[in-house]
Amino acid sequence: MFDLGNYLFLFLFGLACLFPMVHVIAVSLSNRAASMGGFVTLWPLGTTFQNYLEILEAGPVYRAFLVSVSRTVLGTSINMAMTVLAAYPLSKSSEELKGRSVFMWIVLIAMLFNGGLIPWWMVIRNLGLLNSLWALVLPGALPIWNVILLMNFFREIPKELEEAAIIDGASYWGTLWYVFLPLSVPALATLTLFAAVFHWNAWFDGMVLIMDNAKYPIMTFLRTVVVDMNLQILTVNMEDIYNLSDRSIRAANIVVATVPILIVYPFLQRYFIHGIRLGAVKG
Amino acid sequence: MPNGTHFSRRHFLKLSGTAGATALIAACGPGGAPEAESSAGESSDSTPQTATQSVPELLGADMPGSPNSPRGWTTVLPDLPEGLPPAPGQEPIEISTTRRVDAQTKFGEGDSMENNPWSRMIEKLFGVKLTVAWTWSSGDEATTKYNLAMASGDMPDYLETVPSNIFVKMVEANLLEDITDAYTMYASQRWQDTWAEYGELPWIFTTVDGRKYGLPRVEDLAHNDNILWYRQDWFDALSLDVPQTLEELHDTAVAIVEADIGKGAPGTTIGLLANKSFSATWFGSIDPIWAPHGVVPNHWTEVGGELVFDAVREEMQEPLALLNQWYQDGIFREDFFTINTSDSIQDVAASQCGIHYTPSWGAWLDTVRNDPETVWAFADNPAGPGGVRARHTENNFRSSPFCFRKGMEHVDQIFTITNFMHELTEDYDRRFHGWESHNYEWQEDGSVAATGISWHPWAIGPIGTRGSGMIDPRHVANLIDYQLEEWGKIPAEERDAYQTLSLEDPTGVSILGKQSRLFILETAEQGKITEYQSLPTPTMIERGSDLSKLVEENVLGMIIGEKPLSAFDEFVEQWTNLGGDLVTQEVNEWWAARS
Repeated sequence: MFDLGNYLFLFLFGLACLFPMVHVIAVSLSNRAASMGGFVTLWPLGTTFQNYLEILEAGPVYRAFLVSVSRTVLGTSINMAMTVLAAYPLSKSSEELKGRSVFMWIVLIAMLFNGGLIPWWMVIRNLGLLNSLWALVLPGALPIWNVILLMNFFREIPKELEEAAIIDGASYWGTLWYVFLPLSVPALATLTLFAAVFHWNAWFDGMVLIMDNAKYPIMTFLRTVVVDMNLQILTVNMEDIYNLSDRSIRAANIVVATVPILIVYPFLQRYFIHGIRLGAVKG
Repeated sequence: MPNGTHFSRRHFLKLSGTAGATALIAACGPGGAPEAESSAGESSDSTPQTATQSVPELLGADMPGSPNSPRGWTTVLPDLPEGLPPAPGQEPIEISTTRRVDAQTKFGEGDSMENNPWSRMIEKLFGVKLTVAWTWSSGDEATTKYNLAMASGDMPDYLETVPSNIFVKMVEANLLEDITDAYTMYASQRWQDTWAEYGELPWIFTTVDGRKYGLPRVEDLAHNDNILWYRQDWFDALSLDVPQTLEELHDTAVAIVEADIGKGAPGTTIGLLANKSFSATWFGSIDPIWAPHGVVPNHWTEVGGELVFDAVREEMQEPLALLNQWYQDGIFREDFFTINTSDSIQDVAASQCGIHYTPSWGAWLDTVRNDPETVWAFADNPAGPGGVRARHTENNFRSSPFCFRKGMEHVDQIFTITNFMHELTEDYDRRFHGWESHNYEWQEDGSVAATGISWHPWAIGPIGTRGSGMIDPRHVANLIDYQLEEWGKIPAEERDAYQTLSLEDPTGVSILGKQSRLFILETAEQGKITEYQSLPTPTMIERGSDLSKLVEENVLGMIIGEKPLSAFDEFVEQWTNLGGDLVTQEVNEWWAARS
């Protein structure tokens, strides 16, 4: 009985999570008038691919999509390399790494405090990064939260393994590469996912650091499409109001922007499960 | 990118079912501009001489109009000032700008904000290259970016629609050019005469200490003025008459709710559209209910020589009681106070609502598409107590102006371009409708179809830009008049393709919108305008959002009965204590200084 209730609850809970997504997909496949009338719930009405053709034809979505893909690939690679290289030495004791606590403080202070929007922006501008892809990946190259997570993970790896490797003649680089990284795959997968999702979903830095809207990443671009227009403040004519209120087009944009990052999850999922098993055996 | 756009162009052609002829025109349209300096078929000198080359030859594919197509037309460009177009080979002047860009900003293939038919025309005729420093799409994005520009001292030359609070800060920081003299020197006589007719109104939001720091954004007259839209088909079915008074409106709305004639689930018919923007708004407003009582909640009105804020006046109580009663009678959607303006379109599109106060676009096309039986009609707003008909109206010279960077070298160029665009767009005989294969496209049968791409967002203000910039606020009404009168007189078979496109209206919705616009202008005397016409005062900037939140909570609360009407005095006291007294004082200082 308890099981049944549990299943029912989880089933409904799952449905509740799926519902908004299915709704958006249905709206994106419906004709405009039906979605404006709010008739579409879970099944498209007047099914049409017109909305997708229209946004793909328009070009900016393609461009924004490519920017986001390159940003995510480049940004995640940089993030992971930096995270590993920072977490490994910091996971050592103070005897092994002289001045470890100083480094740790530098890292922590940078995590807890920041300079504020305008100084941050001006630094990036003065470095000449504005309007380039590097502005989106370099300022956040070292995700400190991830460093601390990975550092703690490294610390749980038995010291004996490292000592054995060193006795066999491995350098620190060698132990990192041959001992620590292979043992940390679940943690690395999780952090990669964090980093990739972060890069894919980030819109604010795109908005303030990319001046040319042809170089906007997809989430920043999406915002120009789906943001609720304050049409009273903006002078518009009838046609504009009509076009700007198009829910089907907006939904199609949302789908195009969301689906790629959703696809990443199943690929990384097996590492999570693997990770859980690893812990169980070790215990 | 080339692969993607190539595919899309082909696909587009396939979609719109156009033939080879169109493809040819399209192919030499946007992409080949530099090569296609001379118009098709005529021989061109390899080193063109400006003196001998006509403007259409100079513009080539970037010449607006369609004289060579069947049922085409010719655009007549205004004369250029002396010394223009620039001599060949002369380096263009670069002017950096900020631009608003959103889903409606579209381009032909290969074009961009910096390179499109409009910008190419301007560069060839005036030797001015307009570059884009940065773009923004929503209000908060504009605020963020203008703040960054100010903080870094990195100001572009020409700033599009600077938000009021930023404008005030920029003037204080001495970042904007004083254009008082430039305006009298460079703006055309016609432009100056037109704005002079409106007295101080054009300069209210751009003047600081008697000096002008920007050009206003002009909105067409009666743009946001609401009238009564109703479903004629429902009225006929229920034998209802067009309501003449608010009482009759109440009874009519109740009859519609009781008949439950709407298309939604049983019991979902809405008598009168309303949303949480309880004052004036652009869709489903209720300001024509407030205004006949002498108040519009966010207006300032003169009472005994002093300005008072309408929301806290005694006169609010009567319409509040009325709206509370209407809410209890089920006229409004039960949860209207949670719905924003754009979402209330849904009730109209879904045929759940039969009456709404909306500007000229109230005959909503989606309703007709969902329910082909729909017949929209408009009527004068029902009269309130004492037969008064009144509604919110506004100053058509809006806040958030176009500004020039302090020390900007080419202020005159912006005026020269605007003078030209003013004549081009507001002399209707010039027949400027944009560019072939961009704004419209020829069909196989010799007619034209609109592409949904518009030149307006390509242009810089105050003409064009995102929205509908213009010099003369009467422009839209004049244009409608001109089209209905002049083109309407031409027999249908003799109209050229564009005239046919403009006057053809299978659903009737577009013509109805035009007629309603003219009707709203005829009843312009009903407009109630807020008498505080100036930049926000310091306390408004500081406490404004708290104050409007308080007003919103109380006005909506009293309409839905969550707060008793007897709490009105308490609300007034709270408003005063929260800073309303300071705002009133500042507003009256301005009022005293003005009169």
